[in-house]
Amino acid sequence: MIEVVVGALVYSNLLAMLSVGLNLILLTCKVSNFAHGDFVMVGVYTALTVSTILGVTPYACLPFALIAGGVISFALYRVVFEPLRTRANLVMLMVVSMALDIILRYSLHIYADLAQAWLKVHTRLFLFDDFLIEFSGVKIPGVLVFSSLTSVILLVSLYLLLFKTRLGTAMRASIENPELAEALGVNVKMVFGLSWFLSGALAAAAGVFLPFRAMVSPDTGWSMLLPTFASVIVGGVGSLSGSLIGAYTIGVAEVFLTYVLASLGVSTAYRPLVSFSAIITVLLVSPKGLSGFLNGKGWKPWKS
Amino acid sequence: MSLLEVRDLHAGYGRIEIVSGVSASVSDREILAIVGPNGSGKSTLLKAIFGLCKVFTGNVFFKGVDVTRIPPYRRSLNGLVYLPQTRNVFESLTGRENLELAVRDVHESDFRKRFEGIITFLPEVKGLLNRKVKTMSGGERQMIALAMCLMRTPSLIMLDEPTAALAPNLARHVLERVSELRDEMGLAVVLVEQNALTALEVSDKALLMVSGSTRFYGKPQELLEDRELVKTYLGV
Repeated sequence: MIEVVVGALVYSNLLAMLSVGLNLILLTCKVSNFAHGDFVMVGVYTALTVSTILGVTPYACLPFALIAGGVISFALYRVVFEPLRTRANLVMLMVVSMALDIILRYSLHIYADLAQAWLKVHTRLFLFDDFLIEFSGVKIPGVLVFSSLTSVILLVSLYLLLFKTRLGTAMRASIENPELAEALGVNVKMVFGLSWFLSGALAAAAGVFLPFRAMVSPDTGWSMLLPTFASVIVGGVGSLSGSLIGAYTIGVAEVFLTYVLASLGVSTAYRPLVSFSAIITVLLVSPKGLSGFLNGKGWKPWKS
Repeated sequence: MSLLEVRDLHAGYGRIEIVSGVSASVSDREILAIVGPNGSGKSTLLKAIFGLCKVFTGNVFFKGVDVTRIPPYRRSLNGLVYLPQTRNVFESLTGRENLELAVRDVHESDFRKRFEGIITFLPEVKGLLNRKVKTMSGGERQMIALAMCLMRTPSLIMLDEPTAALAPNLARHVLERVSELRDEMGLAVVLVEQNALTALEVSDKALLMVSGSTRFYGKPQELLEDRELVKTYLGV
């Protein structure tokens, strides 16, 4: 049972980083980014590569993963989404992100083939080795400690950036009214670019921890996309604090329900049912998610 | 030398040309009023000058430099400020946050100095600092919007119908403030205004636009004396 609790918490930590990043892109550029799961895999393969080359624990590769995920996400924005920002509608942007998902996924497959030849390690269906950390006699898996610390530090930093700095005010202003922000001298392109960087970096950070709990391959990012979207929708599109609540709701529900179903002899392959059911139920009952349900309307990031 | 010069500007959206061959100029401490019937391209001309819509041909010079192809935020950093007709304040932010945003690139002491100057000119802003903009009335929002523009210490300010949706007495008050921008703060102003007669009273130059083209460009007094133009296009 403890194993299930640990699994649920780690999974929820990862979903929190993923869903806040996905929501940030929905807020700034109105893109339902289907390539978001691939940034997770950029984090995974950066951690695998760097840890193999340097011979260190994958946890130590977190800074490299943050940079790699951020840079690739920023590049996608500058090359694809920035030119489309004022020209394409929401559906077109979504379809473009689906195409980019395929491109990124196959690029990751190619990278996995090359890395396997160069590094002489398995680059598909592999796990990272974890270790236990002892706190006053209690042994806790490293992944629980490090994923919790990382998600708290990254998300608190994001909160401070958005609400306690002038750059954050410029970001919030650009989200609400890009034209006016531009009129006041805000470089909206760069501000949106920064939000893509942050989103990609958060997803890649989640990727560093994923192989400690699940066997991964370049396609795994796609399977992370459904619970991430479910977290955003449950929390409320546009509410970053809602995404946090959504992530822990979906994460815990998915792991525990799967555990209960498995103990009844039902296949764990039905796990995505939880996310799908959550999306449908929330959209039918309260389309603005929990934050909309609690507050009415309006854009209130963090303040749900 | 003119502060702002527009030369034979053709601009619009997508492939549609809205502004066709407009030329005008504004010097220091001068107000240019752009008037004309609805749909004549007045707001599009302002957007084109600021770089928010497509310029097909023609040029915009600001402080003697061709700014036609540079991004809007850089025009703003050079001292050209544009106040849109609607959605000209950030509703989710407080009055103070709106003002801070307008000058987030200056030092705190400089911010205070500018802020004191604005409060002398627009004393009503002082009571609005800690309120969220979405709780403010239309007039209060316009004051915050104007204060935001002034915090940037611009050389030229472009106002797109600052009196739209305001009660008549409040509209007159705002337009009086526009002439004070020139007289007390030494600014140049480009003013697009439905309230044509009042706008022409306070301005130094007038541009009458009809169907995207210049119908009259010159002294406001000369425009007001042309009975036919006034009757046909300004509805007076």
